[in-house]
Amino acid sequence: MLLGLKVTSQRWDSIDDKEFNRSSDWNRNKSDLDFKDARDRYEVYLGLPITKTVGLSVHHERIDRSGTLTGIDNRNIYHRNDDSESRTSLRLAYRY
Amino acid sequence: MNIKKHAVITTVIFALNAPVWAGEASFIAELASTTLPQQAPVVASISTSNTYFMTSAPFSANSSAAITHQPQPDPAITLPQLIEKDWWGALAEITVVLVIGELLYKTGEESMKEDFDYEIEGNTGRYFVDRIVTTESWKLDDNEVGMNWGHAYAGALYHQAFRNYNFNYYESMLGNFLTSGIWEVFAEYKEVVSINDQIVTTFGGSVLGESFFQLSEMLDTKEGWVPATFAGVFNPSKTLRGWFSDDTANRFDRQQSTDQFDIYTGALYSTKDTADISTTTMLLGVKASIDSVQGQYDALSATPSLVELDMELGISAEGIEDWQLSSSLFLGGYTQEVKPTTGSRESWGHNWFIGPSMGIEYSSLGQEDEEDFFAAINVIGLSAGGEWQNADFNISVRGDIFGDFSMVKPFASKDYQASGGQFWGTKSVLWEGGYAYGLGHTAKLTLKQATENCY
Repeated sequence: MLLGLKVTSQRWDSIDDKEFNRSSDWNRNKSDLDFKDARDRYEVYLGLPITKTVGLSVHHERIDRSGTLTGIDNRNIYHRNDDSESRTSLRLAYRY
Repeated sequence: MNIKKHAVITTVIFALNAPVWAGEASFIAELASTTLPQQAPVVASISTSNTYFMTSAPFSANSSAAITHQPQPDPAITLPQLIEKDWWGALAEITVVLVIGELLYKTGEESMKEDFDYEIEGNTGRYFVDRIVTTESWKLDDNEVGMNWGHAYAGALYHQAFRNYNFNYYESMLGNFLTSGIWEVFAEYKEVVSINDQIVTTFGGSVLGESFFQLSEMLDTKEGWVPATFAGVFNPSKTLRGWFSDDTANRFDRQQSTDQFDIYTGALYSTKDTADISTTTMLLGVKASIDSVQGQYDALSATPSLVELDMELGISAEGIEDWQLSSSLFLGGYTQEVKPTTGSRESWGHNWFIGPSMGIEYSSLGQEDEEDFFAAINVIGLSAGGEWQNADFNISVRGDIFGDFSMVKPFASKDYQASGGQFWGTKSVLWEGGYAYGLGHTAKLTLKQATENCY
């Protein structure tokens, strides 16, 4: 029997330096946005051997997502979104 | 967050420097190996200031000794076929890859015209010199996700074009970086010199290329059409050459590693709290790894010693719902192993490792507006892990932390657009592709507990 726990935490902040962002003649970057995103993922699983090469496992995951969009040139812009997803799966694996 | 020029230059310097010290270690290995008989396997000693390797028999080996601690002075196996670099072979393969790339580029050139920002006017030589030595045309491009992620696969082919001919990991990464630079500066001379392409191709491509390179050889030792198919896809050049040549000598000794190749299927049920959506999908996945952390390869100096690859496809009634791919490499470092007495419940053994690592992750979960997408290049990180075991139990813990360059669909996009917001006038990549570039980190913690004979 195999019991496992896996936690992953990710954070990203947008690269906002206009010098390095491609800007087209017809769509100038004059109302830029900054994003900050987070993903936290928690997984617990239980694996059971059936034969030497075949195994069954049950997985449960929770993913917490969060993000903000903020105006850089227009400070009035601010949007935030949060959600959580639960993912439960049953898997049959074959090992070569 | 602002990115400054020196950050870009630092990235370039890192890419250039890594192979330099790696090359020195490789040179030492070559020098040492020449002093020994050239029958396989050749055993060479590599002295490095920050690495320490222990001799370890395969885990299944019958050891009657009690707990043993056998520090030895940095032994590493260097097989003869690891030593001689085939420069002409590498040149031929990278040329073929670039010619195919150029033909594909020319075929789709009409659709690329919106990416053209420059024309050569006046001195042609000066034009190309300026593209290299000034940062005037260095930009984050606004190509669609598929095209920009495709550079990781192109980088994997570039990496393997050198790796297949006995260049070590870091030398192949340097070859990858230079090839990508040639492509950006000369092949796509009307476009920006894409900073994101250089990072994805060099670092992401090298992680993917090395994973595919090692896994392909491992899969060649497995029976069945599934491993054979994956081996062919993972290293097409080696497969093609294998059709016309009997030279099938393996680069790696499978006795020095613990291999895993699983395919799986299953069903997944997911629910989102706020969006109030539930989905049922069928899963198809692959989980593969090669663990030679406690083996005898020239790990930190030339050969990543832990390779992991996970791929998972989720298919619902609406089509492809999820696609996830992740791969990571432990480059090597300080490792130690103490074996337990075979069959004894009272005797506990342990092993642990710590060192630099790299990775890549692509994740698309959900569809259309509900899609959560990101692609992260784990440019460089630190990994550490430990394992304790006796005859009945095995407990392991591992931690990783990476610095990321990422492509992310901002999670607030849905809310922003639903309230009338648009991406016109913002970063062009947001308008063109619905995603943008970011810097950040990925941290992982894994705990596992297994009983004897566990699958």
